[in-house]
Amino acid sequence: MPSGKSLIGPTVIIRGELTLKEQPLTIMGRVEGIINHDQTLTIHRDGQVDAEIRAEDVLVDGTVHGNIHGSKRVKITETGRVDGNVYTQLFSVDEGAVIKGNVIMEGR
Amino acid sequence: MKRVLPQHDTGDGDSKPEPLRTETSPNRWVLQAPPEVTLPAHATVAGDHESQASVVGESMVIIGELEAAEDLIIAGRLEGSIMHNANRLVIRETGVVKANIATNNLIIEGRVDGDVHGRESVSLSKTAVVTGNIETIRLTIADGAQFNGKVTMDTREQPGTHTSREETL
Repeated sequence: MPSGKSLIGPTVIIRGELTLKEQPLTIMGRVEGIINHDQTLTIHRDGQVDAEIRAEDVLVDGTVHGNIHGSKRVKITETGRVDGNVYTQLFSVDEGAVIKGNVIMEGR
Repeated sequence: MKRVLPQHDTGDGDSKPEPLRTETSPNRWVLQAPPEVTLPAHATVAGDHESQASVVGESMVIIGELEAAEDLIIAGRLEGSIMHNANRLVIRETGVVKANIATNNLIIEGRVDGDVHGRESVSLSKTAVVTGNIETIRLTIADGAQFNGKVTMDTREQPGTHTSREETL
């Protein structure tokens, strides 16, 4: 068991508020609601998140409906889809990614 | 072996050009067996998924409902409800669950506040603190566990031996 790591597996559905500190989180399933995190959040290629996301680093390989607040960094890979606004300092997008929304890069 | 065009095989007007799907000659099925190169890779991926349980880590707090159809480990906190349709749910010593839980096999090492339904078994380890009712077929409570609530054991769900024992009692 990976002790310091949280994993929302592919069959898992969470509806509500999810808060997490100091441990990375990978979402392969579905989360609806709010995610509050202070570390690295990875949304796996099969993951689907309908939520307002707050985290330090957000890596989007999957699908996000909702605003993303990445206090440090947001990265959207070629399989990533974002329907919502992105607020962050460092932002990168790979070719193939789909974004519908505003990107607001807040000054460092 | 000589291949026959599908138009010849199906004389009823079906003109789909699918030479590999004719059922006229049983020998051809053997010849057409595809080389299964990709299967081992698939198998290992599936195996990884199965051995990989979902983990609600120590620092994670979920307020709401959780559904899962895979093994689940809760080391964090959950308030709401758990609908679990898989073999095993483990609540670690650091886990705190304020929810009604339904699962097949439940292992409680932490704290549970709520009604618990283990369709096959419920097991409380020595560090468990449970307040609520337990409904299951097989129950284990280790020495040192704290439990306040009612136990319902419906042995009729298990066919055979247990019903006959009830009769002798």
